Amino acid sequence: MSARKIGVYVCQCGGNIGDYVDVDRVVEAASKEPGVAVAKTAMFTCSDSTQQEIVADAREQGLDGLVVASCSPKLHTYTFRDVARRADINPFQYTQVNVREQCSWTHTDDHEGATEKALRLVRAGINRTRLTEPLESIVVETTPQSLVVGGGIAGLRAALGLAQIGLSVFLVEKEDRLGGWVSEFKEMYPHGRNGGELVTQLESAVRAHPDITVFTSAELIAKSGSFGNYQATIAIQGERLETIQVQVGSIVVATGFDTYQPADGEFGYGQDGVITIAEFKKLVEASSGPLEYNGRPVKTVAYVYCVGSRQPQYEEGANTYCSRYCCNAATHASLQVNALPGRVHQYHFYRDMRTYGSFELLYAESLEKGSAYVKYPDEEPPTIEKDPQSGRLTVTARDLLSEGEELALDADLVVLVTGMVPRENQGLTKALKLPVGQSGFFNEIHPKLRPVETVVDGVYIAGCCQAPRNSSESVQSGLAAVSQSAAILKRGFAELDPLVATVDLDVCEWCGACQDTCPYDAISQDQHAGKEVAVIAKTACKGCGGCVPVCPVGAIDLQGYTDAQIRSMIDGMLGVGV
Amino acid sequence: MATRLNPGLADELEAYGAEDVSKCFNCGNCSALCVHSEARHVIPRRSMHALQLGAEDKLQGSLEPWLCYYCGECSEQCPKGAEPAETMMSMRRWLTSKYDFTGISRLFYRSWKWELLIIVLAAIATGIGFTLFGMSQGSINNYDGPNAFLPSAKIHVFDWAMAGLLVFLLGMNVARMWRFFTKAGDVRASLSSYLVSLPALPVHFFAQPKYRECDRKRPWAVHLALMLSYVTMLVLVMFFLGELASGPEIDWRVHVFGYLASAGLIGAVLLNLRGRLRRDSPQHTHSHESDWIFLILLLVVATTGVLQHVLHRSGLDAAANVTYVIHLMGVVPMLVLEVPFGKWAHMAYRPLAVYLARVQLHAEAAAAAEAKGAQPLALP
Repeated sequence: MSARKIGVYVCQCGGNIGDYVDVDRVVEAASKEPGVAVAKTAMFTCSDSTQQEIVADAREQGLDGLVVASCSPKLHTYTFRDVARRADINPFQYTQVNVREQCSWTHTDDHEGATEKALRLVRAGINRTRLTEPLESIVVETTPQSLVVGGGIAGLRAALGLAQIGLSVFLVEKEDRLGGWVSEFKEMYPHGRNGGELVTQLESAVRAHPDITVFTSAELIAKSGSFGNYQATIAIQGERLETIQVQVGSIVVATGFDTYQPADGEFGYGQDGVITIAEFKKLVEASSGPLEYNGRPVKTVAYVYCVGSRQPQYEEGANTYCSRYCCNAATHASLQVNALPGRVHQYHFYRDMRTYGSFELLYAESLEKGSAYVKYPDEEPPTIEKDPQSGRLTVTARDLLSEGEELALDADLVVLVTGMVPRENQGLTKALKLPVGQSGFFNEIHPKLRPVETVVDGVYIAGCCQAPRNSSESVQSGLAAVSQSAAILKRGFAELDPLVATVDLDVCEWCGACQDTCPYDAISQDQHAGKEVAVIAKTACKGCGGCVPVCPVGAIDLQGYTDAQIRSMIDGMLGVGV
Repeated sequence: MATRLNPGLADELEAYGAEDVSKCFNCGNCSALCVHSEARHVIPRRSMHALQLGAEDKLQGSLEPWLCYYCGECSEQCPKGAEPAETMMSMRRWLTSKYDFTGISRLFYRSWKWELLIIVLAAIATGIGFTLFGMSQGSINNYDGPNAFLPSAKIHVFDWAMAGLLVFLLGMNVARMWRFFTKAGDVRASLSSYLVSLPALPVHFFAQPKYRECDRKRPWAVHLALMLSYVTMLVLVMFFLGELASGPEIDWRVHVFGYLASAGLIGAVLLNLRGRLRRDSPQHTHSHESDWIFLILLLVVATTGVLQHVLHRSGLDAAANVTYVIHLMGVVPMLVLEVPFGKWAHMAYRPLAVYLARVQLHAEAAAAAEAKGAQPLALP
């Protein structure tokens, strides 16, 4: 018999589990496993009442281990770790068993099979729990300094925000000036403020702040150290190239976007009279009199939306995402044209108008001011042709709102409403080991709950390097990165899960295989008892377990998932007695 | 073949009374409400969208503006205040000027000052002409009889000449309407399709059964009274002018119709005038200058017609003759200018639109049946 006192709670999840798995049988079997002191079922284990019941049972029975058989660990690991903590059980002596996504939901047609599978999964969980040791979180002291990469509107605002909460900030900008894209904008929507002026205000506040050091013509080229205490190497291009190192607790990446550059001939691009929305905005903002292009009066403008965005998936390297800002930018530009003297007829060839939120007002206003909207089919974008003799540009498109009728418009100017693309940033991506999504933008951990954090602890993303967005949304994410930095840097320390690899120094004979395989540079060579051994930096290790199987002498174990635990789980699933 | 867009079309229609067209965001509420809207004729949304885009050729050949009778429900319910009903009205004005080969209609609708000036000039010319003619024919003191100022037999000849001119002008415009329609819709109908659909013409000319389908019935009833009174009057003038003019005894077989028609005309015109002044219903909310000119002209013609009759029966022949001349000063511009070039033209275009829509339906059904029959028999 085991000396352990483990509590097992099998959830019915309403009917999600209970309708397919004979929960009572699972509980009964679990209660007979060695070391199990309590085995129960509940309608909803995550409910407050069941949580309180677990805490009460633990106190009463003196439980030292907890098994919850319910849904995916992605949902409630932290919930039940907290329950364990409240029940005076070490949170790392709790095991989550997934009998919903990986059992009841997948075997809805086989109740007997599902029950058998749940029995084995729960047994494996009990076996693992039986072999757990109490673990403590790793506490890391953090450096109250932050590095911001990118001096556009998001980076500037983040730098200022970080400085305002009392952190020292290094701001690194690749260009020789600050301000990014917004500094080139004039009238912005929806408030009509001048982009250049806004950024100038922000820049002077940043430059005036004593706790912000700005490096322009500079790039982050390397990062070492571990969470909370990174050494960042910055290369600065002055009269000669020099590098400096700074110590930082967090890094905010706000490197922005590039505009989509249409290929030659794409929607007629490259021909006289076919320009991008960025070029068009400059043209409109430089006009004071009636709109002209290359000295010719412009009476009819055709906007073609979704150029470089929402491309079909089957195309190689397609930008399948919506660039989000462009519908607003184009309707806003059309209003700027309306404000110029002279009547200009404007046609918007669109797929879906996505002037979300209050930007709907831009669309409504442009409609009322006479803009015509033509909805073209997804699979049949407009074509742009130039008559070689007359030089006349003709946009031809099917209009879904005219029952698919084909329309031809002679336009003086065709504006391709181009989207955003990720910036070429290979050096930085490599230096920070940043995860890049399918679309080429940097990836967050969780789009809803952890929107600015990356899998690299202490490295946050903000602005358009993450996804296309407008300037106000970029600033919002910049400030979110500020608050996340504050969360780890203002306390002075941070806690990490202790589920990391450990080396048995007596067994290790240093061959370097583990160091070669570690993706996080967490393993280094050191001396111990007169021999060379591998040491693992606990704060750098992510607990991926990659080093464990490559060790030829079996010196490495992963805390929380030791070889013994994994073996016991396999035994449990196979039904081999302990 | 792609429809070539005319970006200036919506601006052009503003001169015909279109307002707020650009507000429309194509939700289609209007067509969901409209009793005349169906899969084939999406009224008024399709026309609104075509106008916004500037699909001029398509709109020019469309019958749909004529299939709307302006009940105004769409405008009342439009979430954007885009006034689809009034836009349909303005499209009918625009179409009238498109059908008219002389360009007079275009001038009238785009400038009420020109319209008024030309009507006044035509009235003055008519006045002078008939005064001189009357002085050459007899005495101002004789309304009828051998020495009549304006002998009905001769006026009768003039009436028929004027009717001939009118039929010619309207006929030309109707032919253009037919051509625009067949060209834009690529309509190929056989003679039999045209013949089979013919009964629709008189039915929709006299009774406007489609107008009656609108939720509001009163406008249809008032319109029917006006229309039947007018036709009755026309028949009396064209075929029974002698009986109508001779007196002093009243020929009830003829006069009873004259009185009823006069009452109907004056009553309906007064109701419409009152409605437009008070803006009592959606179709009276917007009044184009041409609407006022039309109603006032009709009122002048109707009242002077009654007055000369009363004066004549009262033995005041001189006064009756003067009133008669004034009456003709109204009648001539009304028939020569308003019927072919103005609002009156709809009496030809509306029934014709219903008729042509039937022809198209019949032709398509015939083509479909033929295509089906032409298919080789499927082997079992």
